[in-house]
Amino acid sequence: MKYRLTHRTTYLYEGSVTVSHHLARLAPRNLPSQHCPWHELEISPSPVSRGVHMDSFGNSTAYFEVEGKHEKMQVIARSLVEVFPTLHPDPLGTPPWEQIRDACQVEKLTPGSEAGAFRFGSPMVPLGKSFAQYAAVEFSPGRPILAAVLGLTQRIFSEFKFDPRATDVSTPVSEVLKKRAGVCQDFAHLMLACLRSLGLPARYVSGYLETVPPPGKVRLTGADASHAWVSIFCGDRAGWIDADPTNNVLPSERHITVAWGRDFSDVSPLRGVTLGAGGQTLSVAVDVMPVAEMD
Amino acid sequence: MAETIRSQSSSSQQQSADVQGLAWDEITDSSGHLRPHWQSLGLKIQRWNAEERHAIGASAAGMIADLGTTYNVYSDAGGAGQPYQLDPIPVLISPSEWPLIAAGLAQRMRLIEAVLADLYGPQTLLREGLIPPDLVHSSPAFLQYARGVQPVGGRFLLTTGCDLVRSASGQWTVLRDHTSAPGGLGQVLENRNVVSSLLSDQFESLQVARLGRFFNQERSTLQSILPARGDMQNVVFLTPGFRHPSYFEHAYKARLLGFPLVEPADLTVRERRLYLKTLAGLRRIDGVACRIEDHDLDPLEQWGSGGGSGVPGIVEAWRTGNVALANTPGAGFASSPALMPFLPGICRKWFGEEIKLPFVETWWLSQPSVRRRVLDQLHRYVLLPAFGRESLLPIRCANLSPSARKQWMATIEERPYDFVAQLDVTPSEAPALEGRSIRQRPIVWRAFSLNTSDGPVVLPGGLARVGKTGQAPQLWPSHAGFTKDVWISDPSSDLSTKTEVKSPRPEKDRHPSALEVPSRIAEQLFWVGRCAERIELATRLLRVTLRNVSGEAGRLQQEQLSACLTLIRGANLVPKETLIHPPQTLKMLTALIHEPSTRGSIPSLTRSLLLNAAAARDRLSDDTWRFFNRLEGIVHAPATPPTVSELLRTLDTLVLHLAAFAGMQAENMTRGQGWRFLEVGRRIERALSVLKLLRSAAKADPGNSSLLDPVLETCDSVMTYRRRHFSRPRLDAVVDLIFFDVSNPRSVSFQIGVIEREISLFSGDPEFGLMPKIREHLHELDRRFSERRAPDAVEFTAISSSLEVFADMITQHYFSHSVRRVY
Repeated sequence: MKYRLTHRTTYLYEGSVTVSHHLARLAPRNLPSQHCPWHELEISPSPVSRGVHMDSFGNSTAYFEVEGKHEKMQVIARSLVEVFPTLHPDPLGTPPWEQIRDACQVEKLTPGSEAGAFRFGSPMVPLGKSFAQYAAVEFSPGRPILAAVLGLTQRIFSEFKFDPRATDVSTPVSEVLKKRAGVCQDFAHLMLACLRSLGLPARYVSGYLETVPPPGKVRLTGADASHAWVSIFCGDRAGWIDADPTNNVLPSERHITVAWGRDFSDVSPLRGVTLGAGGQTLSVAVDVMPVAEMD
Repeated sequence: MAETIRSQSSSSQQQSADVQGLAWDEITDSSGHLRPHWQSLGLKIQRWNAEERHAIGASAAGMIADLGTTYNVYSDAGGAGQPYQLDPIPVLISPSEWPLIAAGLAQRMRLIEAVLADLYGPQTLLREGLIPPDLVHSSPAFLQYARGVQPVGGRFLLTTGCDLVRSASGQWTVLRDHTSAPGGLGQVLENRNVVSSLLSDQFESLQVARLGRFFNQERSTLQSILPARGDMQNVVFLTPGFRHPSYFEHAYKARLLGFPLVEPADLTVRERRLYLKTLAGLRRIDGVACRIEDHDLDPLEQWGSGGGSGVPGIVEAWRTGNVALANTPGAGFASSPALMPFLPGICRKWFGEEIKLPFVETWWLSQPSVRRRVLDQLHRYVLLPAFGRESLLPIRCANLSPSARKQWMATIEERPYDFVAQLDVTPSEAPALEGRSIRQRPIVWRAFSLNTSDGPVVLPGGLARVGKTGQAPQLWPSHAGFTKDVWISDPSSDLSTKTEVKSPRPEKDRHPSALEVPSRIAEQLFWVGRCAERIELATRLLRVTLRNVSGEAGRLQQEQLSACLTLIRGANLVPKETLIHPPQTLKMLTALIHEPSTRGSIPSLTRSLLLNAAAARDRLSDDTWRFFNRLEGIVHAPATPPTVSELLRTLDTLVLHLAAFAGMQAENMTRGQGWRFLEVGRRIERALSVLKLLRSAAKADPGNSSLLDPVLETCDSVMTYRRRHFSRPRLDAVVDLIFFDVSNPRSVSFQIGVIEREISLFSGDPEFGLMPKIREHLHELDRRFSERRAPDAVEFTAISSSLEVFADMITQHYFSHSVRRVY
């Protein structure tokens, strides 16, 4: 599938801001299953300085500064992306999950054990018994890893309520587990906490999801938002496999990967520090348009 | 698993048996004789009688207190508590063992530098199995954002500290490395300053190695790693601020190195370059001696870092090679004790040599076989956090109850990578002065190394911390307790280099950035001036009020008192609507003089004065500082409610002190840009004070002249008035004297005149930003005085507001840099 992406972020400041610094991770990654031939960042007011570097996870990271009094800032990321269908292995053919866990405990780093970096607690994903216990039902001894992951994805999907009012960006994942409610970011963090508490390597993926319009109705432009899911290392042969607990699917052509890291704090799409404003209101609008439709 | 045991080197094993034995005695050998290098000093201290001991201890304490009078203020202002205490008896290191230790420390610095360069770069150590991958992956101290950055200057480390303990067999062993912002280096010099003068004869006869060279090299090394740029380069010393326990040390060290002491709010990143906000505009900064924790450095890069503190963009400036940070972000990773057991293996494999300094037996508990062995004998160890995030640690396992022990074992099994076990060591003991006696106390020696372009250089001395007998040194608090100077006899060294504690004043003058005033400092000084004037108004007004309070008030006195209370309300010392009933008058006045929690009271104004002064500490002379310290003592509430005459005495003392400060400011402070802001702040506030008094007087019934006496007295203009008028005060004559008269240093027009003169001397382009508006505004104010008609109450208020607007323009133009001025 080919998509044209527009991700528009608007900050309205209560006072006027004189100087602000920002980091953006809005450029889709280039992957075997995904190709991004074009990406641009439109920023207003026009930044006085900008640069791009790769962060330690390989995400393209844009840095920019805005200077001079302003009450509003807008960042529009536009990209063209082609996503290829993913062929998922037979879940029952993947190795037992314990094998993945044990293979990460190495004394020497080898190409096959590099995933091990993603099995520890991180700023927004603490580890703990309660998470391991929640996942334990699915991770029965000897169960193939992908089968167990599918089970956990399904459980989070059915036992947790999607409710934007239940949580905010700072809600700890332990609270999410108690409340049984949250949004995609919370479910991704929760699933990571579960997997890592079992000693399994898993990372946070930020990106977009093409939503299907209801039958007979036109696609709602701007109704979509940025999305988050997880990726689990399933052994040398299967590699990393994505899972989306919010929608209970294994992502394929309809998920567009932007960045990955240990958790949201590594990949937040736009982060800024402003000088001079009081409060601020943020609005985000994302359009994921299949290119065929536009023609 | 055999592999595991090999990778966590057990070269320390031999140490374990004897480190736990009887403490090594630094001063006497097993037969009870003084060790050779202690002969001279040992005899001397043994001959001290109780009085001499007491006296020398007291001198040391006095000298340290003099160097660090700041601390009292900081504790009051919510800052750190007590300063370090100094034990004047130094620790002597034998000249025969020093070269080996020095070589060991230098090797260790080279090794850790190589480890950091690899881990933040290609990570071959992980692939070769010399460091387990999990040690890096599980560590929150390993900074993801620093991965792949080529540090400016090619080095991760500039200075490091290394804690050493001497084992029971007499071998110095490494307890801990400090690789991010090693604390104590400034204090080494404070201690040396005091001890070398208290024990000057011993200091000379033992030919103690001098420290000056190391500090000069530290300065030049820092300058050598700056990114290449044509003109004069600037370095700053970055401290978290005066609430940090080591702030005084930072201020001292910065002064010594000749680099301006700055806080994160002083710096700004524009176009990926770092700048210091100064009065003259933004000054490019090329290097930073960083004393800020990695996590508080840049809120843009670090999730949830200190609520917006730090310098946004500084990491990007570093990443793009525009500024050198020393030590680099992420260098603190190597402070983890988890790394220690792997260093000998890396040294062997990479350098082809054995590690020279042994270390206290230390185990990272992530590896199962190691963990099993350690948990079997847990009582022998102290449990440490591998990366510094366990609030309950360190703990001494021998002291654990069986149930607590079980709990810890379970926690360790759950996330073993977070824990390190280090042998419960008994450090050597050295003579320590305690009041009138000398006792043997355990010590840990913090040595320091510097990474120069020609390789590591080691400080011939250091800081010895004195602990409690029987307490594991890992548990000693890091910011409290006694410290000692460390002496190494070195007959070969060049003793003529007496750079010791002399701050590099001549050099400082050549350093352009040191001469400039950071905007924040100017702002603090501006407020010091304003606070001092507010205190003066309150003091004088309360004094004249109190003179009218007494037991048997006559009618005239009653009238005077109520006039004074009107003025107190008019000056906003109490809320305007406050009704003051006679029986409560004294209580209210007492609160305004002694009660810090009363708004507008002298103690609360003093608190703001001290807060502002504290932040500008390195711009104020020691005398000024001493004066500020005394202010608090004067207004400190007495144990019993004070009488009127006691209150009056307090206010008299205060008036004299404030006059002394004004005199000091006029006579002893260089007319730099900082001074100018102090002066302008003072003048604005004095004009506002007089305007408040005049407004109250103008509002009163024209027939009622009772307000005018206290107004004149508060403005210190009674004598002049009497000399001129020989009559009861009249409003027009009073306005003439304290509003119009340009020769009266208390008049409003005099203040405006001073402000106009000083503003014209401010640095920076006079046509830039708000400058033309500021001048125009002042001019407008000045025009009011050429009109000889006396203003009414409304006009006095309008002039006050106009002055406030002026103060706000100063703030916008000079302090907040809302308009960019780069130069």
